[in-house]
Amino acid sequence: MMSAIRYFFTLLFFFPVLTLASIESGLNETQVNTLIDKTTGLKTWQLTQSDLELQLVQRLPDQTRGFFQGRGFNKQQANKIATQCVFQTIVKNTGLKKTGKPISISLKNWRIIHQPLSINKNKITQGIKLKEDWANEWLTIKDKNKQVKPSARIAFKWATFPSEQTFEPGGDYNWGMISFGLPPGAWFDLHIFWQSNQASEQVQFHDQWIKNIQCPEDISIDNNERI
Amino acid sequence: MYLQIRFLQIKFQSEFKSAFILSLFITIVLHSSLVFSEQSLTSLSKAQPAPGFSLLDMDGVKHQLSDYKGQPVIINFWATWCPPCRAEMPSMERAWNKIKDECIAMLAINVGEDEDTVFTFLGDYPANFTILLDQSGAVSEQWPVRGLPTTFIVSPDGQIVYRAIGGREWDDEQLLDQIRQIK
Repeated sequence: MMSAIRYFFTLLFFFPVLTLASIESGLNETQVNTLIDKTTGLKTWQLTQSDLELQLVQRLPDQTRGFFQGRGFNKQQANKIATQCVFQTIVKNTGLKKTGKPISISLKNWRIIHQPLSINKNKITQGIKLKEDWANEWLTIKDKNKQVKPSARIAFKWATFPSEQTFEPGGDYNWGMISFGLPPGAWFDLHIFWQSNQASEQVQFHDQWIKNIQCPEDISIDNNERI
Repeated sequence: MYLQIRFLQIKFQSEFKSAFILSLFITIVLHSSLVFSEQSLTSLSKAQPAPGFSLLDMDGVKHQLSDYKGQPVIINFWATWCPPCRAEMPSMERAWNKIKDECIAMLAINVGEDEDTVFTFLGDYPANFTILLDQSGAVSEQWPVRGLPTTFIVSPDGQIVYRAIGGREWDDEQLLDQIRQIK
């Protein structure tokens, strides 16, 4: 009997200690992991900090070509998008409804630092090629035969990640493609910015680096060779 | 005497260890269930009028939002190529089976795809709730949709009262109760 009581109190002591420890570690820990898909060999860069979870998943240019050609883009148009370093991006607010805060992301603030392929050039800092940049580019095409079809524009709009979005705690997340505007195989560092509690007076600004990200090589699925 | 003390020490250590392991297990289970299974809708701080629409379903029948006045309406924007949309589709069907007799409507508006594409998709993901086609994307433009899937809950008087960005397990009872409460 004494033993059972002692056991119960030991359990009672450990439970809150471990709960606090797990919550504390979840709040403060920043993790950047690189994962490799065993089947495809494609890499994922995953950032976890506070309630933000971000994943950047490589997309082979062939995957992106196929996707957009199947949705109204012609071969040249689809190829132009596919060779601009496209990643499937997943953003999630992992905060709980009662304790979490909204997370706001604006891709306009994100910065890329990369080393151009020619050896003598200095590192370059640039922004992301946003969906609005693509839409503006297509507006300037005068030749009717080269214009992007409305159905293709609709598909592009919804398949790409919004330039600005707020994610509420309690399960909000989104998927979408981001084109980083770099050639296949290029390496870059990404500086990510986000805000929590944007709409309130307790707004907090966050930033984090993900280093050594690689744009997927342009490999043909048929012959597994670089194009 | 020494042996007796040693025996008690060993017994206490093993109790201590097993209590620690059990606490650790309970903590991990509780923490992970809280983090990964929360299914909730975001209440809009200021309800806004739901933009009206007139769209065709898979049988060519016209549906207007005003047809559903007087009952809560779940309006889901989706596309066949969107992985989280595909993931939540079976739970929407299960939810529909739970609520179809409760005077709650469920409309899934496909964004930008043609009837053939959606028809093929529904062969793999059967849905008995209403699927509407917004082929031009004009309706989706009028709603505050930023990504797919996005779901809105419209109150019986035509106001958007809840929003969910990204997929949910729609047959979750707590989530459905949030919708039932606006009836």
